[in-house]
Amino acid sequence: MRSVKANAPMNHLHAHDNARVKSVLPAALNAQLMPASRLLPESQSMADAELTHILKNGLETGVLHELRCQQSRDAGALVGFAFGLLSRLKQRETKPVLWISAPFADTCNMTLFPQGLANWGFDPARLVIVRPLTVMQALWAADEAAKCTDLAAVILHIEGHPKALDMTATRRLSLRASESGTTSLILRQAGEEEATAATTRWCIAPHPSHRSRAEMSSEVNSVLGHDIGFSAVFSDLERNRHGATSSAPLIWNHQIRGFRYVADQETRTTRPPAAVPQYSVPGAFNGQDQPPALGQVVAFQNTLERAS
Amino acid sequence: MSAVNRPACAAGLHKHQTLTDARAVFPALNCYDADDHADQTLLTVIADWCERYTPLLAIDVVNGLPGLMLDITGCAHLFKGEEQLRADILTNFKAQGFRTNAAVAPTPGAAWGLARFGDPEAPRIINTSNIREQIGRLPLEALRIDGKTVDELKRVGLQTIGCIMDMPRGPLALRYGKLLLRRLDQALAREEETISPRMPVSELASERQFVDPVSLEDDISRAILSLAGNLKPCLETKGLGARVLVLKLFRVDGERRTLNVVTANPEREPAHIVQLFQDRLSSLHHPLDAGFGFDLIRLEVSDAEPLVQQQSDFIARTQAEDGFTALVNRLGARLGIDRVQRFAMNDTHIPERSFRAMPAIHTPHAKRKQTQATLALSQADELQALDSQLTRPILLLNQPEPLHVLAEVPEGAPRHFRWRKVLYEVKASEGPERISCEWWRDGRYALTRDYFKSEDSNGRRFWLFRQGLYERETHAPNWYMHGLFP
Repeated sequence: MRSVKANAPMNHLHAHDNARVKSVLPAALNAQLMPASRLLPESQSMADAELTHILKNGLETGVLHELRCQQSRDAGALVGFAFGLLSRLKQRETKPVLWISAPFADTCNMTLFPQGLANWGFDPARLVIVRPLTVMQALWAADEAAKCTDLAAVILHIEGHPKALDMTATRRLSLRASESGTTSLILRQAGEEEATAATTRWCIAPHPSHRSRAEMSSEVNSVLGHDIGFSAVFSDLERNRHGATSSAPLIWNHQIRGFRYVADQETRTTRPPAAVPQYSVPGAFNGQDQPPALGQVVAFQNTLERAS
Repeated sequence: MSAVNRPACAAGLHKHQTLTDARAVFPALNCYDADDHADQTLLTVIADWCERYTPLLAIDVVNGLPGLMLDITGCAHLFKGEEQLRADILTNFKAQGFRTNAAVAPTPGAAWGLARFGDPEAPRIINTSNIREQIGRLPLEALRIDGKTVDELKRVGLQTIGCIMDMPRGPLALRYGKLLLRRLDQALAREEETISPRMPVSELASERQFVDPVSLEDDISRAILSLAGNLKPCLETKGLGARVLVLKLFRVDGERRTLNVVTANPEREPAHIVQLFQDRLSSLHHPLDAGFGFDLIRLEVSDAEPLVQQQSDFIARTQAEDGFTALVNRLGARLGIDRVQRFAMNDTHIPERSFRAMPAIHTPHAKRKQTQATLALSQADELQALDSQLTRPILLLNQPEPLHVLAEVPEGAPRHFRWRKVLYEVKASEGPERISCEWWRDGRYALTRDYFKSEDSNGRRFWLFRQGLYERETHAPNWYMHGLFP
């Protein structure tokens, strides 16, 4: 009993959409992000529908990027965004992708779902999963993999801020990546902002798709009125070594396997009000940037004496 | 009593005596509980150590008498002859505090009898020319037959093997059974007998003995390099490449360490093999304890596959250090082959059963079949992605987790649900997609699942299911969380 949805042409929507996007985003961003190799190849038919300014002209291959999400339950959006990028990464290539799942990263008791990956546009047969026992082993594996020229990308999936993954480690990863030309991604689940050697850092959050549903209702003759629209994520480019940052909700267009902006102008510039989590899970468990504990630590004996 | 030592023997005690009798004879007797398991373990350790002499080795326990049987065919010259080999074994055992009897004979049966029942003055090394004479002198127990037959034979005055050696076979078999004749034939090499080695014999092995025991890791690596260099021409002539390599390190004090390495593709390059073992060595949980050093290192190829020579050209990069297979080999050697995985598809609709993780080493990238999902994907490519909807989540929970759900109608989509102590408000839902149970696996009364894709107010998309059809299968269906959509 699958819901049925009519398949309507979407292309004119993108063209119209993109015209506005170009005018809104700063031109400087476009100019500064011009490295030699590009993550996304120039594609003719969908060039206008892509994330023209940031992704296609910007995201470098052969360097280290970091993607993070604030809460573990946003892992879906994070992993989806990463695989969205990977499936755009030289789409015709069949080189394998190495996914290194550091210990504790699977504390949420979840695994990648091959059918879901295929559904999302990524061939699961290209994926090799490494499950090391310690963070040090995970870093070693990432190092080795980043040296390998025979890979499309290396993904290091971690939770929080392990102490071993510091500036030195990320710097080494980034150097290895630039030597071999293998794109490296750090997926930091439930992570805070941390200084790393990554070229860009993105904060990914889920974004309601019902905004795009408004567009869809005019375009698509939906049989069931309350269908979920295209998946959307709020991507926040927090840090960019080569220039400006930007933040915008993006829609993953499943048909063409590409991202595009949400047409609604207001949601693009401002971030949706972040829901206050009912249970704030600390992002770091053994990180180095922990705030000091409140109050003064006094010997128990002293306190007793003072009280008496 | 299951065993007595030599002074106890001298005092007149013997096996199978009751402890009370023994104490009556010798009141100050020290006795310990027999531990068969520990005896067995000790014998295994000794057998491991004895593998330095020959790969064909069996633990044989006949009539409760433990022992080791070594097939030294073609090995004796490595130790400068049988006499030297036997002397070496005896010295080494004596140095470790074992009293050993050893004999060399053309047949396992003869060696067994000679080692246990041979006259101390008689030669312990016999060959085909004097086998009849030497075996003939042994008592009947040396034939590996049960005590009852021995007693019966002795009662009619037959004391040694020599007495029955030339007797008419017919009456002997009729009176004492066929086993007696069979054992006799086996001892005298009239009938073939092979020992069954405890370890499968490897295809190829190369070993090196050291006069000065080695203990440094560099030295060991160098030894592996030279051993792998020895193996390479042999593998080349056979057109094989090693898939599983076993390194055996024999320590001076009798310990033996075994390391094995599995490769993704057949391999025979010494440098790569050394690299793999170095990774393996550095990842050991308990670092290699060299003690006083290793005096014998052996490298065995325990599994090999055909390796076709490839013509390399100048332009294409040789698939060497930075290749993908090399990477998988190294990761597998260091982290363990089970920790480097690929997905394999199963033919089922139940999501958690539809895939399994296989060691990547066993499914080489080049040879892999196109998975079903890939097929589906490529077909979808051709049809301009007709399946335009996301129906499967990207992350799947290992175990569906129960939810507290409030739904508007029993058959409908959820309105609110509580997952991991957090309340989510559903803004939109798609579904249901019905997945029936597999009655042939779960039984007739397994419940049907109705999957919904639901989005909460923050835009998180979940994959939940209701287990059981309302009023047809159950009256209180349970809800479960099963995955996260991007």
